[in-house]
Amino acid sequence: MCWGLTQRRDGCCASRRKCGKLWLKIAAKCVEIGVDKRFHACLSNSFSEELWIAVSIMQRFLFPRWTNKFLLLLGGLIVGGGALYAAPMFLAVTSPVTLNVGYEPTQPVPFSHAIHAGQLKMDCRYCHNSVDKSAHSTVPATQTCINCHSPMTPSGPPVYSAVHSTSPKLQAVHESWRTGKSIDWVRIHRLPDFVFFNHSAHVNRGVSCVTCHGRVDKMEVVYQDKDQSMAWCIDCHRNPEPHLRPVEFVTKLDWKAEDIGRDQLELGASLKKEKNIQPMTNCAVCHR
Amino acid sequence: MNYPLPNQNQKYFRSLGELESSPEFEQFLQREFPTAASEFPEGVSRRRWLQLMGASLAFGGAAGCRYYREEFAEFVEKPEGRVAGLPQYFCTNFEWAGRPVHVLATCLEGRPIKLDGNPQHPIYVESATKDSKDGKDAKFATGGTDAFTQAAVLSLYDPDRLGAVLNRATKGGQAEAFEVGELADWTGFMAFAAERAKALQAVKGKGLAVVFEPTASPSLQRWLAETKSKFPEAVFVEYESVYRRNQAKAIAIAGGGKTSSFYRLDLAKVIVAVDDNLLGSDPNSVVYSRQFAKNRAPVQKDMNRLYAIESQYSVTGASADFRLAIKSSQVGLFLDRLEAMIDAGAGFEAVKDEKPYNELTSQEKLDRALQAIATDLLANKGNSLLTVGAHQEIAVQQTGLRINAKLGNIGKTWMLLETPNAAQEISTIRLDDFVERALGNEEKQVAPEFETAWLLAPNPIFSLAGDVALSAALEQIGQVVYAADTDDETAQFADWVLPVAHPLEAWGDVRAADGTYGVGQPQIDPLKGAKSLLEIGLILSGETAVSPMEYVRQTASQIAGGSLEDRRWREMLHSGFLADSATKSIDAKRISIEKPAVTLVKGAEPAAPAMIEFDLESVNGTNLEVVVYPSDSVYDGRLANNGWLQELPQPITKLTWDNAAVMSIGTARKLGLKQGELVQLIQGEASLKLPVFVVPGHAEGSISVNLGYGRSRAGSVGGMVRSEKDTFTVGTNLSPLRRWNQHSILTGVEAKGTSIPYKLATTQDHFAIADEGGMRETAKRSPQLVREGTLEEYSEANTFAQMHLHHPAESMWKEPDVRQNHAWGMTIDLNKCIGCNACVVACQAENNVPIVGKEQVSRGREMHWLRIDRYFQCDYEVTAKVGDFRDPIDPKIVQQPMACAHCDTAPCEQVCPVAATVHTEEGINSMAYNRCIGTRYCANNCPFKVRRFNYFNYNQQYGYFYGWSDKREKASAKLQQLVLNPDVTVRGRGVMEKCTYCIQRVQNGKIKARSTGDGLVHDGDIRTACQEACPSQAIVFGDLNDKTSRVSALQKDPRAYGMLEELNIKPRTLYLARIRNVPRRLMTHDQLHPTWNTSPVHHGGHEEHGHGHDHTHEESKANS
Repeated sequence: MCWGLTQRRDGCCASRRKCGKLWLKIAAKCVEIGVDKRFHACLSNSFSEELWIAVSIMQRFLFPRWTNKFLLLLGGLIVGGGALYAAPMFLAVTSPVTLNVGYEPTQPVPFSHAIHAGQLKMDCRYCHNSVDKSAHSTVPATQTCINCHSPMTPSGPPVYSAVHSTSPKLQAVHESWRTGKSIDWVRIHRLPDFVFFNHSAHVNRGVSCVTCHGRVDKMEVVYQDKDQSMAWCIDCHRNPEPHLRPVEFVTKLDWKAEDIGRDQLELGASLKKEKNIQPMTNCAVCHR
Repeated sequence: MNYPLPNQNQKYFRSLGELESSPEFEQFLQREFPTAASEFPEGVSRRRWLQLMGASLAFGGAAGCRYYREEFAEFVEKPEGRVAGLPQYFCTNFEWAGRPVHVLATCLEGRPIKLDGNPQHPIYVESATKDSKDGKDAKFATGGTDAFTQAAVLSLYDPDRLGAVLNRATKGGQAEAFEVGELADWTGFMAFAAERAKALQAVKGKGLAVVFEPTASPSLQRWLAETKSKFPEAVFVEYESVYRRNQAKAIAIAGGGKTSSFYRLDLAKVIVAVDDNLLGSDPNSVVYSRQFAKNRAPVQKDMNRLYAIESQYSVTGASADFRLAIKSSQVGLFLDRLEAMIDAGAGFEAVKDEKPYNELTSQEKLDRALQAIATDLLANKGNSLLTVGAHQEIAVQQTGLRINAKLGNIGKTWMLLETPNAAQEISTIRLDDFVERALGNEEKQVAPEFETAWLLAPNPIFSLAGDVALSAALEQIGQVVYAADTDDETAQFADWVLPVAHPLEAWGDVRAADGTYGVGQPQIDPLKGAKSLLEIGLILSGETAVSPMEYVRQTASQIAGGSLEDRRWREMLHSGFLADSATKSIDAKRISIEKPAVTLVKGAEPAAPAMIEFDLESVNGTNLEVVVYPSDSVYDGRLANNGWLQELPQPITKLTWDNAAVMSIGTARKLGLKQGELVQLIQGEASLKLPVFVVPGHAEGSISVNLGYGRSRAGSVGGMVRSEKDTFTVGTNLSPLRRWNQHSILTGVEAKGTSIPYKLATTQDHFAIADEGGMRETAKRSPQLVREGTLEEYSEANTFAQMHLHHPAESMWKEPDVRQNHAWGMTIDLNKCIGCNACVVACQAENNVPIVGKEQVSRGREMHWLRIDRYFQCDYEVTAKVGDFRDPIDPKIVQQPMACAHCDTAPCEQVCPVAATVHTEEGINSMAYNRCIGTRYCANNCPFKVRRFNYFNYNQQYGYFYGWSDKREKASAKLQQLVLNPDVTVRGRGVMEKCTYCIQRVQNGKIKARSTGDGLVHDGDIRTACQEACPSQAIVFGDLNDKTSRVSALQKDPRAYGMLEELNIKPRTLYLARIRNVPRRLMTHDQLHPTWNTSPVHHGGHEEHGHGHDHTHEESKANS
């Protein structure tokens, strides 16, 4: 067995067997004296002469000279390949579309928006109650969950609001209610710290939740639907008409302008005029 | 081209360096940052630099990655009314730096981040500026605060605050100071205190001494009185670090006890502040500034007039219409002469063809000033006011009261109020007596008297005069219990050290200057488990059954007269004051001004010299006086660990991180001293070395020094001496020089030069405005930057501020439309601005502006977005005629708050290669920090020099410049970042920043207006942080598109001018020219012959003139 890569011009080593044995010896010696020390050991001549022979054999494992003419080609391949690799990395992989869209972390409570917002048609603001008041749309306090999902009491199920009071899925909620410690919800939509987005400014002027968050009422587990990049923000700020609707329908995610017999663009334009909506695109709108 | 020196054309200068054209000043002038500003701080090794860079890179990488987990921790049960992201406002009242403050605290997510004056508080409403157009001024009401109060939130999150109850008896005398993160454990002390209180009660308090600071808190006063009745044998010691007792005593004598005093500057037409920094260091300076500014608009017929007679150059002197510098020790004589003249009633009218005031000799000046003041006072009987500084002797105080009584001012402009103070009824002893009795005397066979001492005054060991052996006395006493906010100098000598809560963490109360009662409610749970002074008191006296809140409520009920039901209690907490609780004025019949003077001070001062020495001759050897003032930055040292205050340029000297021996040019020259050298001050055996700082206009033969520096155990910011090697102090401690019987004015001091250089970090030359042409250009421009005139000039031609400048005829390009929807603008009234610095700290608090440390300040790297330029102004022609140009005669001061002017055609924007600074459609010159790459071109092109560059991660490596360990920095950062405003980006290294007109307030204001209400932004809805903080309401911000807004009206005022308008930059911030209401007899040559009106007015388009403006001046000079 020869481990050599290519043969040297002066022919193969005479004894394949010896060669193989030497390799085993090198390996054994390395294990014996420890990998870190081996180079030091080499220098201080504590290796046997056999090892020196082994090293000289290793020196034979070189590329043949005729390969030199392909060096340029190889270099070209590496550079070109690198460029081919880097271009999509920068353009696609690190783009907000790739990075942000589809982020779907596991939440501590397997809460289904599809059931609550979709089937039960609960208004978004039942839980996200500061969305029309403040910059932030909060996640609900544990108390909000407990309004319907009270835990089992020692004397049996609670009198009111005992929906699934023993469900294992609600364990984290009940635990939080019992101990007074917050549920650690995982944040999905996150803008950089130097961006100041205000929910109330948008919601109160007829930009629906669905515009930025997608059909959350159809999501079993919430994921990020839009890339929420600066370019994406500015698109709408420059051209808000397709995204405006009467304020009362803001949380109705499946609403369409056709439902009230209007054309979206025409409706958007009239709302824009009526509510004096002039979204600005200067830096200070979001960066302060 | 070289220009000749001295430049006698020059009328305004920032410093003596500018006057003498020092190379240092040239550098600050020519470069946007001085040369060294691009270098690394001393002591930063390359290794550390690599660490910093490596860390930045690593963090940069982490921040760029999307999928890292961030968690929300929402409430389990949400408090009522709490909405994430919306601020909540609560009224509270407390005592801070010896002042009663009435504030509206802004709390975000449960933490207070900003304090502003409570606009509804009667003391502010009373003196609110009436809107000249209609009666809607309530809407514009702002409270106003001082710099101390603005910085109070930083002290709340100070990681060096004591977080443990220290018991030196069990811990072998060593304190485990500066623990971070743990809450204090009180159980051991509670048991000890309960037992001790019982034992003390059994002996009626014999052997107990209670050292306390005079307080305006009725609950603390009540606790003191109750403790006295519980322990009748106990001795009560009153200790004031900043001595105001003489004044209090004189007023008490006048009113027959239970008396407090309150000035009504808004009712006074003539105000004479005699050695009294009424607008600066007075405990009620915020209210007085507001009252003063009320009648300060020249359009009003009754524009007031302020005379300042003082030794130091204070903000009151700078705001005064006329200022006379005399030694503090001669103020008594001055008042005696004034009184005699008022008694005489007449006979000092002006003579024909008098010389201008500044051409007189010193003695003539004094006579002329006395005559003018007396005439003015006599002409305004009943609506004038003469105040005397609290540090003056009691006899001087009484002279002041007498003069006011003779003028009929008592009860009109000087209110003597009947304010009950339970603590005043306790008989107290002085601290020096306490020390004597505590030590005992072996020779006289007097045994030491005390076994227990409760030290409830902050840090007396530090602030005390050097000749009182308090430390020895404390060692003599068996059990010393000390309430402290840090493990400070005094704590070293205490057996128990108890952490005192910040006033924002505890229940308390305070009476306003007019007697209005207000409760202080906690805004946050004690961060380090500390308890308030009141609660500690209650524990000490064994009254633990009642909670501090109940105790305060009991006090409130007593003051309200009967029990305070829930509804009224809640109403009081909501509005921040008890309605109609202002105390009544004392019946005029009961006032007895004529009572003989009482000598209060032991070993009274030697008889004062018979005549007022008013010339340089008084400065010989031992005839110097040294006057001790509380610092405008760190008060008596208790705020020394507050970085915002340490780095705040002090009003006149613009010194940061230091105190100095401030003196006049003449005195310095006479003593052979130079700025930036140490001087040795000697009085008897005591001596002290202090750096010299020369201020033109300071009284001759007088040296003023600031208390509160040189702390050895303040903390990581304010000074810490851990061992001989590990020493770091800020400034110099004055106590070695001070003597107990000379509280503030030290006479007979000798001064010796040492020639030891000392580096002072003063910002007076930083960001001097000029352009090409350097010094000459500055000299020419200064009077254009700050414009002022006398009231006479104004009445003659109110457009004098519209100077003879070339206004550019036409713009070279199409100008942007930056007036869509709104056009934000600002005016700053130089006539109202007193230069108190409140706006500077308010801006710092609002906009997350970091501090950079002394070494960085001296390189011109301070980060303040808003600075206050202080210009000296003097009549050079006369100075050159009479004396030496380097020693200007009677220099006046003009102060000018300077922040980004938001030019419509901003020069900074035109040079930014990445468009990181651009205009909004509404005219705000905004910064996109994340786009900035740090070329600093913009700073280079800004004519106002208002842009600041982050040379380091000042906000992250906060403690690096103080040599903190990484561990400590991490621990501190946790606490310190709580003070940051979440609405403003925290800027990183390599980024340019500047004033944004509080863009976050503008945006949030617009969003709020459009989400609620009628969708319109009304005038006064959006206020900048500086505007809100300004006690004199000099700053007005608003929409210029709204023709009815106050700012629109003010920008049309004839006094309004834009700085450097001739550059066609169209600044949005306009200044209102300063008007000095100088009586004709006291006018200088310049004021008598103003040049603005006589110079021919140029209009735009004269090509041959280029951009020069003062040709007439120069030509006439050349010809003559």
